[in-house]
Amino acid sequence: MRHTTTLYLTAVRGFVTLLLAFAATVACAQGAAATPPAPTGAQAAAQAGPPPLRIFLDCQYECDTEYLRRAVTFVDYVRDRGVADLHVLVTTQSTGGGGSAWIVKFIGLQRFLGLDRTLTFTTGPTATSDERRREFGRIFKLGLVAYAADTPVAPKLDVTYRSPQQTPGASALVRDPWHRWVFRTNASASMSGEASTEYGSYRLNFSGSRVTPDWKVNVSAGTSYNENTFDLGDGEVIKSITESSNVNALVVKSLTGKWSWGNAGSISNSSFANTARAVSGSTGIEYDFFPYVESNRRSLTVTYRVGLSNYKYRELTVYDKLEETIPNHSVTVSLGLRQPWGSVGASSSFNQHLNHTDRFRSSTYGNADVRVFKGFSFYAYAGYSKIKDQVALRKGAATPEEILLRLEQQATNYSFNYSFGFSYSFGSIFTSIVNPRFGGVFD
Amino acid sequence: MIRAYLACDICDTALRATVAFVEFVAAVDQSDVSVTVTSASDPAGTKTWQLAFSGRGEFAGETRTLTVSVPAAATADETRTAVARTLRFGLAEYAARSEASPHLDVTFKTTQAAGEEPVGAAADRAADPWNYWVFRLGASGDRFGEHSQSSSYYSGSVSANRTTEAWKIRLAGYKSTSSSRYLVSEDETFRSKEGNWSVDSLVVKSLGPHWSAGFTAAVTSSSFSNQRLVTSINPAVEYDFFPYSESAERSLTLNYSIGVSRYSYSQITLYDKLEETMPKHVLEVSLGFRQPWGSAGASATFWQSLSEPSFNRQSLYGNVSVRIYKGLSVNGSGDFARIRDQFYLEKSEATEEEILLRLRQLETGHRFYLNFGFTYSFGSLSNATVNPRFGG
Repeated sequence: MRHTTTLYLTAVRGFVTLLLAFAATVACAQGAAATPPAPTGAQAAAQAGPPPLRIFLDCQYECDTEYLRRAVTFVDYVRDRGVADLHVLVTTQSTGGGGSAWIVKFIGLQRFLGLDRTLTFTTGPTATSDERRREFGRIFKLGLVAYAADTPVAPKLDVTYRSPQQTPGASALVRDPWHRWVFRTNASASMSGEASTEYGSYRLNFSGSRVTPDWKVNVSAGTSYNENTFDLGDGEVIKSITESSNVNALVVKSLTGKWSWGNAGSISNSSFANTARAVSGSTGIEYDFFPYVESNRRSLTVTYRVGLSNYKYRELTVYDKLEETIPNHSVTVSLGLRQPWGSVGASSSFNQHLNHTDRFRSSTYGNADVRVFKGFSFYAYAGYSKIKDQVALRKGAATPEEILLRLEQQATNYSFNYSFGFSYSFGSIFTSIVNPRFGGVFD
Repeated sequence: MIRAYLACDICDTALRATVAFVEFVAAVDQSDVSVTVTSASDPAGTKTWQLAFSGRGEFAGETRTLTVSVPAAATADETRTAVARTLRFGLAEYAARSEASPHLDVTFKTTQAAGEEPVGAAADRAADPWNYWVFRLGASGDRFGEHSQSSSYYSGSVSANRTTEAWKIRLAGYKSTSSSRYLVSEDETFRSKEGNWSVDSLVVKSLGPHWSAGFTAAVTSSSFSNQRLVTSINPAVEYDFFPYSESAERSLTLNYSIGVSRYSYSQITLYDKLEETMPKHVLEVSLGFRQPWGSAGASATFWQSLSEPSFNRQSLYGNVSVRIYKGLSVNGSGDFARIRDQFYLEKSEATEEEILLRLRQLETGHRFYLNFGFTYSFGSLSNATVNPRFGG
């Protein structure tokens, strides 16, 4: 009882301390803010015109907003579309060269309603984060400048042009000795540990691709190895290992603006899935109800595939097999939308064995990230699978360690996964100020 | 290059030469964009020039009208300068979609001194009724399940922030709980539950371009670390060897804090305590770079109890991501800590499940994390084709 009271008192003391500190600093800050800095000559002279352009910058993760607020200062940044003059919607897609194709859509609001523009650019596969943010900043400014032309800052703005001879490294590519093939190899290792536990994870990947509007060829190979050690004390040590490898190939032919024909093949093995070697091949057809060129904003595809898989298992399966060949087919419907109000995705697939039609898996998932009203956004994700196709499960019971550490696939006839959340912000709409102080401690 | 047709009385050759990123053509039907420039004067003599841009061909439907006013007293040269600048503003968005795009940029002349708030926009912020305060509420939930295992995680947060050049104030409350279930055998199920919550605050006053002073204060609770309730307050000062205004490119900060924490534990600790008060101080040095060649960061932290100096912790952290030459980039990060400050750990031994599922903090003298890798790309890297068919 006494212990609880002391705890309670400590908590109360803590909160009181915090509140006092808060009150003191707010009073202080208000005092400081009560005298706004005198406007500079430029601002005072320009009070007559419309206020500065208010930008709602809508990037999922691609933009370095702190950098932009420092580098592009002739506009004001606000945190809600409802109070903005201009909504800048940024999407990226992978290019055939392994870089990113950026699409920057400037959507006019308020006095610019109906005045929309789209600018695009690409960054290479090896561009550093600084190069990407600079290039985005440059295109961002080029798109903004016409909208900012009637704001007080216009006299201080200008568009500059360095003719190609003056720009270093701007020599045009005359011919491509690689015939559009791009190769990439990646290796990584990560380790962590303390006195009684150690984790290690190692990966090696290679990929090659050739992407043109008519054909897409992707080949890749990868291997991964994970080893974890737990010292339980009294000389008992548990070591867990999972490993897998795969080789994949995908060849897609564009048939029309909406139809494609695709072929896929793979060889893989996985300790988690009890496969010593799985060889699969499939051919299929895909239809997009929207033209593929609009895929960054909207797509609705239906894909049908038929294929054959041959499995060699590490250990005898629950169906007493060490090897088997399974013909199968699948149909998938996918929807993706990224619009000014948010993004929505949904997908449903049905995969069935053709030799045992009662063995199948049907999965559905949906996600939404939507700005419902000013300051309020909501996201949700939900997925559910009905599972009747676990032919590769190892016969025999798993140990408690194998279950707790998720070392191998367990029998189940369903799997679900959902998440949701909301965020609501209110208060000052301005987010233009960058203050990096004490960043290491708290941010 | 964009071909522009100009219907404009004062646009002579010299004016056209200041718009070098388009090619001017003589007939409207040869053009990608046409510009009609007209003017009107008000009784006071202020002349307003109107520039009507109208896209053609692939730019069909893209129209925009820009205006620029010049006072009656302006010289002919000043007028032409203003019109030419506005012409460049209007043509830039067309030229940004031509081969001239990589060579274009927008400049903005500011009178901003280092460390000062950008004067660029912000003119109407004085009218902000919220006086820079921003409030956020958030909540999220996550669940996963199948026959033999399931898990869930829920969290909620609330915050109030005020960021100005002079002050930074952050107040935040956070709570989360997580639980999991494992069907270990047909008749045995293992369940776990964890939770933590915190109320944090940070207040920082800017003292010139290099110095800041402030404090953090917090009330926290963590089942993972046996901390039922911890109340702390830590006044601190920070010095950045570079001006803070350059923080997006580089920073080197030294942060020293001295404070006191009150601990209440869930279970009796290794040192047979259920609660204690500990003054302590912390010194942290952090370095960060983000440059065209890549980015790098490093920090070193020294933590020490002032009442029991043998309780201390030293840690080093570093990360680097660099393009070594065309196509080859390497990245790595690492963290090493020498740990002598686990005075709060629970006395009883951890169970096998607690160890395997990382449900509680274990006794250790060190902790490390290391991650490194490289990527090498070669071939036709400039191929900008996007082909979304069949995913992949």
